[in-house]
Amino acid sequence: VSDGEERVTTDGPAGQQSSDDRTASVSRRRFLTGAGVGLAVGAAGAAGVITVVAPKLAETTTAQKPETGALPASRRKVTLNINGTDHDVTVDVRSSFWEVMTYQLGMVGSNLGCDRAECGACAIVVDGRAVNGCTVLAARMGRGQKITTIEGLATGTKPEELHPIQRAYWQEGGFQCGICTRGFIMSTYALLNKTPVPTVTEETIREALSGNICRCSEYPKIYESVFRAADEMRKKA
Amino acid sequence: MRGFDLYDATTVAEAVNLLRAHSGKTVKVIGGGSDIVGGVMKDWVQGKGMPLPDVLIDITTIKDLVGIKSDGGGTTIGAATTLTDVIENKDVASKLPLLANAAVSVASPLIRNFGTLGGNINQRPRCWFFRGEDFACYKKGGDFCYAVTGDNRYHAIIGGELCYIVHPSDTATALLALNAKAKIAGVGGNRDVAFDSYFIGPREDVLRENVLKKDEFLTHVEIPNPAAGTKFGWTKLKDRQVYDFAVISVAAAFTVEGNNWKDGRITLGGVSPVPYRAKVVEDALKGKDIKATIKQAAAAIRTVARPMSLNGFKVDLAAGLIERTILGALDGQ
Repeated sequence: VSDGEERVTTDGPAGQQSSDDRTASVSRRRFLTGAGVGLAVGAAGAAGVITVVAPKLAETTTAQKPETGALPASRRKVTLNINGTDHDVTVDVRSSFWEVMTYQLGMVGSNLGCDRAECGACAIVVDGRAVNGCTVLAARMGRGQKITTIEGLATGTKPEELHPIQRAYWQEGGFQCGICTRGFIMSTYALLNKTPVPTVTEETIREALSGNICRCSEYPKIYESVFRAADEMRKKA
Repeated sequence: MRGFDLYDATTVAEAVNLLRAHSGKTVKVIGGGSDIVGGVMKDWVQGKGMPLPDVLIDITTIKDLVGIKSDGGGTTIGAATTLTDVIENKDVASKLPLLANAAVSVASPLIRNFGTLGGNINQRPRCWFFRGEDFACYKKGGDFCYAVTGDNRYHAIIGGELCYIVHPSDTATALLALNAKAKIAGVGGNRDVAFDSYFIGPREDVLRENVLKKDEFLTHVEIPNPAAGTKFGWTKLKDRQVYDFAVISVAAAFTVEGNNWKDGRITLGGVSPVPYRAKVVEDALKGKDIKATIKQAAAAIRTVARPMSLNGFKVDLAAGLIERTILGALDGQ
């Protein structure tokens, strides 16, 4: 960890259990508590759907002593670098990245759709490439990969503090129910967040977003959102 | 998902030692894990032919198995190389465009960014009875093939017996056309197997699709440099425009002498329990003017096809797609 980077140690709910306990590591109560804080922050934001900002971890997870002693091969201590912050966390190796991010770290901005790597609602960006958060095991993400989630895009909750991609989806109305939107935004981010900002055509967008499915079928406006975001990012660059 | 133990191997030898140490359990070597995690374990689909693993050995942590080397002898690709890396590699794009085209047609960027070449080659079939937990089919260790009496529109038209799955891998189809070779490591030692004999049909062993034993895994794929002037063709027909498995795919790599077929391979995905080499078509083309012969030659696929109740359309598709692929390759498309 470089100097100046925030480091948070959370052992999550799993830390309360004995080390050989392989039962589900998330209680309903803790899930509701964690989700509630996230929703409150989201509702306070100006732009609803896409301004869910990461709640401060100190508020969502009670401090727990890190697990001591050797862990069995079914558990693992990992350091997840999410949005520039290192999170030390002990995970069950079967936990997907989405589960750890949501249940153990309280980052509830990303939605789970199919949980089978089919719909892309849970997309995250790992080292500049979008992947399905539901199928990537969290235990394999603590190897120095730089992970970006939807929480890492906006700098605040005001419209002008949103990432250009978020603002474009909002202003073009590139969503209806919004369940898939965070995934579409992350796939768009993986497509556009390059220097120089790539020139996009309908074909490149179709290809880059092909792993994301919108059940409301808002695709024409999603295309418009990506074109608008690309324009804005190119002007800024 | 059922609990399991996860080990990161850092060398091939370490992975082999882990396989040996856990030989009494169900051990699986894992690449990206899209299939084993998302497709198998989360659905709790299991049976003798698809046991839920007790131990997973991660081989993406083995440096030697990630990356692409290309020289005068050929191209070697580590099994844990992601499909995106295969697609973006310059040597693959220039020397083996067929493989790049096949790899880019696999799934979506979200999956290709994490899924590996080895995982794509060794993934389990997508038959909806095999993947459905309510069907104790032959491949899962049961005693029936539900495709025989059930909805078999996507099932095998060639070489199905007992079990009528089709091989799901696009890259395997392309690699067979490129005459590639699999390098295998295991407790019993290392061996090389040409892709010609890497895949096995249900008659040989209905519970698996390739020669890999329980304590073996694919480490590299070796592809010889194609002869100068080799023409490549790749066509994949899907039910959807965006990502899906192939209804039929056709890979072709061949050389010509004037207008005539000199030598080469035509392979089909989505038609048979293994990537299928259409020798009947190759033989019909041998030494002949391609444009004049291709329609008749492609129709030879009908002589080996034995469609089921609902998949006769795939025979017509196969004949048409072979013709289209070869003519497209000839025109350099």
